[in-house]
Amino acid sequence: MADDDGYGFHLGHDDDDAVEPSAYAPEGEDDADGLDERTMNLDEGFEPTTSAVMMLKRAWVLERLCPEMRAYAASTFEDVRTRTDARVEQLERRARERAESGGGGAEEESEKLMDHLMWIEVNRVRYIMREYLRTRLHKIETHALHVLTDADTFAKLSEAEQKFAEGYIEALQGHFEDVLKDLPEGYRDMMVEYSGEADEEATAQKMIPKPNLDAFVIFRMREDVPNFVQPNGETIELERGQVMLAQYSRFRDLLAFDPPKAELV
Amino acid sequence: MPTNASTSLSFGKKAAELVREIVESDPETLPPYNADAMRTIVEQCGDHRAEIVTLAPDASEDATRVGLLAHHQAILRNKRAMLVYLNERVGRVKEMRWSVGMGLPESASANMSHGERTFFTKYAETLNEYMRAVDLDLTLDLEPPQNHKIQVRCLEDHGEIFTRDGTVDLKKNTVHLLWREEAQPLIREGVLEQMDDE
Repeated sequence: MADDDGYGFHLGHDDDDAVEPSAYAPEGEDDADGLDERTMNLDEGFEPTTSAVMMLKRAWVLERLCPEMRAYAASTFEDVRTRTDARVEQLERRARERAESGGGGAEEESEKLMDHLMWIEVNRVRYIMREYLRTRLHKIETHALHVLTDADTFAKLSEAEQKFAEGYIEALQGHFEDVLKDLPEGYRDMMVEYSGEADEEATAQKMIPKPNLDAFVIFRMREDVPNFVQPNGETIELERGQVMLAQYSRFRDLLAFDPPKAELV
Repeated sequence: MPTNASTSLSFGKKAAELVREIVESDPETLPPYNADAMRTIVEQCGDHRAEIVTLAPDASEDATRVGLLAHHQAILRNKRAMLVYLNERVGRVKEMRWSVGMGLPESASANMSHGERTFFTKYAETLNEYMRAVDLDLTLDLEPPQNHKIQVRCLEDHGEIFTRDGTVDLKKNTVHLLWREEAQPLIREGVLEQMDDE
């Protein structure tokens, strides 16, 4: 960002308004000056590289749309936090200085207005930070048992989230099994349906709610992928800008690339 | 069916009623914990179990095996139903931590079982610990923020509070301009009321 502190808040929001509508423009022929409209539709306002805040916003949107847990965006989050805290400190210092100097003046009025606008941005950013963490906590709670028992998923959590998941299950298990303890022997475990079963592992799986990886989501291709091999073995040709409604499990591999070859919208 | 001492067996009927009770209630509310129904269902499970034990020696006969299976499935079904009931309620109990904060109103806590109150406390602790770790109060700003300061009216005498801009004396019926983050918890407690600024 050209902005000296690299904050670039205002850009993020303006871009959304300016760029989003064009994303719905009809898929047209190539433009007169040779520009592929389909390519243009990939709003660069959504480009994950512009600023830390935009990256966090993307992480949040993806987290909301993705059926399974995504890896915790630790560095992005801390980056945004550091910048926001620095900005708050600066705003508070300026307010103090104004109070001390006491004088009015047109210059000070305009500075006050600027500060006011910046406070609004700070609040927006903090809202995104909170929403991001809240979204993740909610997903952790929904599939807490799965999160704890599946090593891959557990590794995607931040340390604080791992502790939260453990504490949550402890509370839940204590509560459920306090009621189940009065059932006949063999039926008292909340994860094992009946412990006398030959295949305990299988019955345990039955009792653990899992994220639905076959849920339908909307993908948008960010790159051409000429021959993508789907999980069922079939090859498909994917073009940049293409929008698909499909089961998450079918194209989830495209999201794993860095930068991702597809995004959820 | 042989007539046994246990005539209370309903093969999951009671459990289904319990599930229906919670599903049909308003999701925003927490109906009283139905301890009686839970106890009855637990007792029925015990009776099913007793039937299984009585029938077990004759397990070589097909008819008996069907009976065994029916009783076993009835217990599983009851267990599932109990968990559905508990789980749905747990969701509503959790919601309260987000909407009203740490202090449970008397009306809500009266409708909870002992186990649910314990769960609420533990859940609140776990969440607090998490929020301390990330150093951010997640219960603020549940809706997208509009303004960083909001105008509030005081509904009761609350005494002085310390804010970033100095102390504010919250007297009944006075109007203040406060920082959103500082006002939100008090609005939730019912001390302040947000005035329409639209």
